[in-house]
Amino acid sequence: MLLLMVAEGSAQPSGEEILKKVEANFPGVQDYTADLDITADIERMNVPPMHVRMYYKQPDKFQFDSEGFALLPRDGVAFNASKLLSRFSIEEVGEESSQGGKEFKLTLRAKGERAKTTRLQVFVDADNWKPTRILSSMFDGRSMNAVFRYEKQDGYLMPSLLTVQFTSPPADTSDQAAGTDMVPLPRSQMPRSGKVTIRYSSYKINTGLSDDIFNKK
Amino acid sequence: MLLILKDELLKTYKKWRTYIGFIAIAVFVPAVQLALKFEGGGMVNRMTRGLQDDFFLVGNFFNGYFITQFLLNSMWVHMPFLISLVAGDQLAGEATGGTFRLLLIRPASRSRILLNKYVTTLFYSFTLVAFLALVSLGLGLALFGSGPLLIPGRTITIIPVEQVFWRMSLAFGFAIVCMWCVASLAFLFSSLVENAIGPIVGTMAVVIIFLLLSNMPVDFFKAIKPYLFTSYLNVWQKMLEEPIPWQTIRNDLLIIGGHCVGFYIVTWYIFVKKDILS
Repeated sequence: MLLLMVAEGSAQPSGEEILKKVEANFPGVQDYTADLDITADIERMNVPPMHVRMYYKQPDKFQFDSEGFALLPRDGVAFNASKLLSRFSIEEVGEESSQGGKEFKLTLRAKGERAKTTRLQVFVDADNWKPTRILSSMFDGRSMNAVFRYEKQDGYLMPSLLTVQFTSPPADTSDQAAGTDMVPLPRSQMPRSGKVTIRYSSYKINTGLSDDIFNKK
Repeated sequence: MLLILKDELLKTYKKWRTYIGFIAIAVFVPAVQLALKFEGGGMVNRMTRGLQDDFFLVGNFFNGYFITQFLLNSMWVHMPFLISLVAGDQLAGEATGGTFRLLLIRPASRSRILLNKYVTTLFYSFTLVAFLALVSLGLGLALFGSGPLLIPGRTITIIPVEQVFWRMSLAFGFAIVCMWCVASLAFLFSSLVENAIGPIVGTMAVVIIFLLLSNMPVDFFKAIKPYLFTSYLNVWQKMLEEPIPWQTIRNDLLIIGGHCVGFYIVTWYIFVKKDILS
């Protein structure tokens, strides 16, 4: 009985193992191109709907092209499990049940004292090793909650919808005296509460993207 | 009418002082643009540093429109000086030169002569702001290219590239109307004295004092702000807001236009009643 319990306990992979499986989250996908339609509803920001073409190539190359402009949440769009371990140490690994089944919950703590993101929680679907949710806590009290949805594209499970919610502590949302227009705002006053929604479409997978695409500035 | 206008335009554009404003713009704008080109996108990076912590910024934000908006913001308080240099000289200059009586022995009425001088003043204001638009936008787009317009401030606004040109053009159009108001005031002061220094200094004094009063965080001054014409001189900036506050723009332009007409009527009354001795 005791042996059975130990065996069941050891069935839960370690944090490193989970992240390695997430890292290999596109088995068979060497590269892809996708169109991203972005809407941002963020406090103190007037930004119209945006459109951008995203290029990805294994292991961690990203490139974004837009005829106009785009604001893309760093921690959501370019989430890279392989780089997490260099910046964070794993504090806790747990399991949670979700609607679709089981999820692993990794709690990570920033290694550097001056890190922008101090604490990170990554939720990983135990069936397909895809991140479903990322919760970031930042040094200035702000937090970010990124939720991923996936759909099958040419036989591969690819991101279809990403919702990133930013939350600021109440002090950040207070009305400040109007400043000079051209003076940059202190970071703590930047508009941060709000939501960015990104819809992925027009996937082109394994077309053999050239490295030159990723060398553009 | 056209002959008098032609004469007034020739007289104005033959004067050296008319070109001081153009020379100032022709030196200042390229100097700033070249300095910014040399510096690279450092200014935009500094302004968006907080934003870049959380977002990838895709697109050319350090572009000709951004530079033009930066220059307009820097210059719009100083433009009234360049405008009043010529507007303040229109009537007082004739008195200083002793040519008023010679001018008024023409068959045209005083009202007609005054109107032509006023139209000349407005035309000068138009050409000066249009020159600023041409140099800052033309050279800006040539040096930095096109792109969306990022407007930093308490609220960050990003205007898509396909909207920037027409918005910027209208902003310059409204800036011309604003400068017409300043020119009308200088023109009014010009009718009161016989030396151009007074109208130039007087106009600048009014503009600076009104601007200071309307920006002071004192409740009393906040209450009088709507009655100061300088409160509406930034109407051009509203073209770069999102959404465009058309109703406010219309009201501001009507108030500025009303001031232009008011200043002109007072000038006309003074001028037709004036005992011309020089």
